[in-house]
Amino acid sequence: MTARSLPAWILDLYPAPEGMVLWLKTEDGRALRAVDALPMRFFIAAEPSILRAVWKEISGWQKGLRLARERRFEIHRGEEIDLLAVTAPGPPAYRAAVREALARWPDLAFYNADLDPALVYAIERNVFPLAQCQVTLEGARVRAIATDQTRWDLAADPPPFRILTLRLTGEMRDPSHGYRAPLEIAVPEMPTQTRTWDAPHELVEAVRDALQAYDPDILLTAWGDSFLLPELIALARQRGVELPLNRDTRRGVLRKRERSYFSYGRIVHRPSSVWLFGRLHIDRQTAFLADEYGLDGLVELARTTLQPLQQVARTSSGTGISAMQTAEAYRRGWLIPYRKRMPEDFKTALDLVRGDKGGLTFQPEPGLYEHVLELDFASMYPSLMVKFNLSAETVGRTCPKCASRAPVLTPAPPAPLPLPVSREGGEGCPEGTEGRGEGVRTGPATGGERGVEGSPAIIPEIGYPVCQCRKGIVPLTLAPLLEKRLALKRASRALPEGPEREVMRRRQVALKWLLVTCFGYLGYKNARFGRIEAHESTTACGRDTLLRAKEIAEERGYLFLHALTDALWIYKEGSTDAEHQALVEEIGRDTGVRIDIEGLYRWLAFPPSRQYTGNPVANRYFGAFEDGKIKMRGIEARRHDTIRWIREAQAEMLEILARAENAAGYRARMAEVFALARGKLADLQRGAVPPRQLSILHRISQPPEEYRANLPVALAARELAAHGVHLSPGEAVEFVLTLGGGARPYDIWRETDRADTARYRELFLRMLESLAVPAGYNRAGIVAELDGIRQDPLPGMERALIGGLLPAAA
Amino acid sequence: MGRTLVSITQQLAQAEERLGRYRRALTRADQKIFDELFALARRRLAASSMAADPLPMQIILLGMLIGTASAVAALAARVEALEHDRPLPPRLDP
Repeated sequence: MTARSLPAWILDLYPAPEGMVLWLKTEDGRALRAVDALPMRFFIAAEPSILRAVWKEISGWQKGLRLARERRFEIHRGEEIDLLAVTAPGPPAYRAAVREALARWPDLAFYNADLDPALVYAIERNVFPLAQCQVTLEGARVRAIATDQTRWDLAADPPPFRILTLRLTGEMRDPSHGYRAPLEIAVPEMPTQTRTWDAPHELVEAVRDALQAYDPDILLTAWGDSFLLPELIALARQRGVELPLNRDTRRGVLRKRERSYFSYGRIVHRPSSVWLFGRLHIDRQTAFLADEYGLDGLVELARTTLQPLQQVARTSSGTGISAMQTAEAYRRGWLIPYRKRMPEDFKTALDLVRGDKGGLTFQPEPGLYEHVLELDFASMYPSLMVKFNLSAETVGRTCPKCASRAPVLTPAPPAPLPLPVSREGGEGCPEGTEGRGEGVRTGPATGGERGVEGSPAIIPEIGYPVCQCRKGIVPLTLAPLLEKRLALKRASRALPEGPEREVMRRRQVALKWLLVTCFGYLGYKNARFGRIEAHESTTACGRDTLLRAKEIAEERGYLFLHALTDALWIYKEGSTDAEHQALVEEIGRDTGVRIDIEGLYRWLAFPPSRQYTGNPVANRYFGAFEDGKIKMRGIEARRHDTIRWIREAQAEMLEILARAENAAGYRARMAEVFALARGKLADLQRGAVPPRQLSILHRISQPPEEYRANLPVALAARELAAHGVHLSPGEAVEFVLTLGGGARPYDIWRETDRADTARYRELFLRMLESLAVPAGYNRAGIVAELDGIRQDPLPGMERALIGGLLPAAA
Repeated sequence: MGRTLVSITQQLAQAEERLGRYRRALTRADQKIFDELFALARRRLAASSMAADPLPMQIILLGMLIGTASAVAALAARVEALEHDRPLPPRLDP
């Protein structure tokens, strides 16, 4: 057979008995199935005598396994160890051998025992998903494959995907709650077809015809995982229609079942999923955060994290980070610790701010301010991890090269157990704890220089030494990622407004999510390369960096108003752009972490907490920048659980307020805000607000029948159950509050149902309070305004008797 | 995320709760002051968490003291301005 060589993109790759199946997209638009061999290897570590016995037994298994003795680097121990290497001819044989060996010797240490074949293939061949390659084929066998692209290239030309879209017409509603609308079948440059479910045979045939005629690479759906594809597959079977969802005719469609699990204090529901072979199914409803970065972002993630596109569309960014770390270790020949996979969901750094001591959370004085400057550190935690080499295997460790320079108080701990260093206070830091800016120090010998080889860095507050001699796996993974994101950000800013710029922005945002989760992953117990001390060290360095920024700003005459983990809000009367620039440059120079000006606010409000007006809320603020752009956090218009009617009303009100030039202007414009509010409330009273606008989306935390209290969410879920829709914990139910304290699921809302206007009015008033209280209104004042009784003068914002007075600007 | 210690935020809330009966026996006017003192401590939570003190109540009390002293200083500045017929020190939230 003669070989032919052609340029092609790697559309998809997955394991099969004969090796790895590759779907190649050629330049002329065809999709080819090719097969490549992929031997895979795992390792077992034990005493030499035990290893000999294991060797003897495995060699009797007769499964085509090759055995060898090897020495490889174990990162947690910091040295090479003796191993038995077991090489299987292909991915299925590898999985079978691992399973058998784990069952036979559960107490031995296994390495590289749960690797993703697609990842291994990518590293072994030095390619990556969606890369453009030069492929030499002999029949369907891959003889050679190579690419001159790297996954860090800024220029990334993804394959020209052929995309078929399947969705229900009309509003985006979850069809598994009973919603039905005609099916829309759309391909570019052809008229969109719609078919109703009343004629199921025609519907299935139309989908089949579209698949055959268009032969799409991507099947893009809304609720394809939980409803559309399962339904279509079932209909096709009933009607005896051959539905070519897969391109790979040797495989069936893969379906994964739904599950509910507990993660970070809440129930999470992961819907069932439908995976295709040779085609890529992406369900925009389940694609993790895909709304924010779209297909361009998913492509970026697939390339960067070495995971096939269908996989990145269904896994969290924590899995992406884990894959990258595994790839980094594999490429270097380092051992990859084996751990069981557990259901996982990841907290972002911002989530952690609320729950974990981690970042510093200041509490702003409630009020309305103007001319406030906000500064944000760029990717603070990942930058610190790279800068100080913070990784599971470097924190709390010293190597022979740097051990002598570690402080006396920190004897080299036995790896890989918890640290002997006291966690209380700063005993680990014999000097520099008083005054400002402990900083991250290195051992006594070098004094001052940070992150030098041969001298460990010392973490502020907790005093852990961090070995700088060998780069850790976490910094090795993050450094190119940080660089790429920054480059994408710059490139996107340099482009004129348009589609090209938007693509760059989306790719950048996708990488941002990887960077955000890499921090949570550092302390995650199920993560291969996670360790709580590394996580603690990162937040300790973060606190130190933030405080350093505060100190520098205060030295320059700014008044400190607020700070949250990696951002700070400061004020200086009449400060100029040049001063702001000089400030960020000094902070960046001093801390070694880039800090950017987020913006200068014309006005900025920190609303007080509801329970007690003197109490501030850390992550709740809104303001208008100089260019009129609104930034808001924690208020109704920003929260996903806010009723649409209220969210949209507040957004409109903020638009009015955004036109105010300063605090006085804000107060003046409240008259317009109240006028708008009166109109909205009148609509509510008249019953003119559509129920969809009033529906509340709420996740159930337990099976509907187990709710003891008659909460609206429980009432709605039980009523849905009575209509044959059974929700699992973690799934959301959408309902409208009805008269008499009830709640009706939106999906079975009837014309005769009436929304409970009193309860909605109360929710509306609370939203209005967020905006009006900083302007000096209390609840009575707001109600008076709504009733058309103008209060003059304003009662003034309810202030605390003590402490309500701000210190005068120095 | 692997937290084993009770955070200072929780400790403050617990302290306030523990003193619930104490608060109940205060006059309404004093209750208001009580709440405000806790608000002052709460506003200094970031500093309290940096202190990592084994006795959180003393850090909470310190927060109340600093808040009170800061208010006194601000009032003193205003009194002095009034005495000398000078403009009042500017407020941050105009």
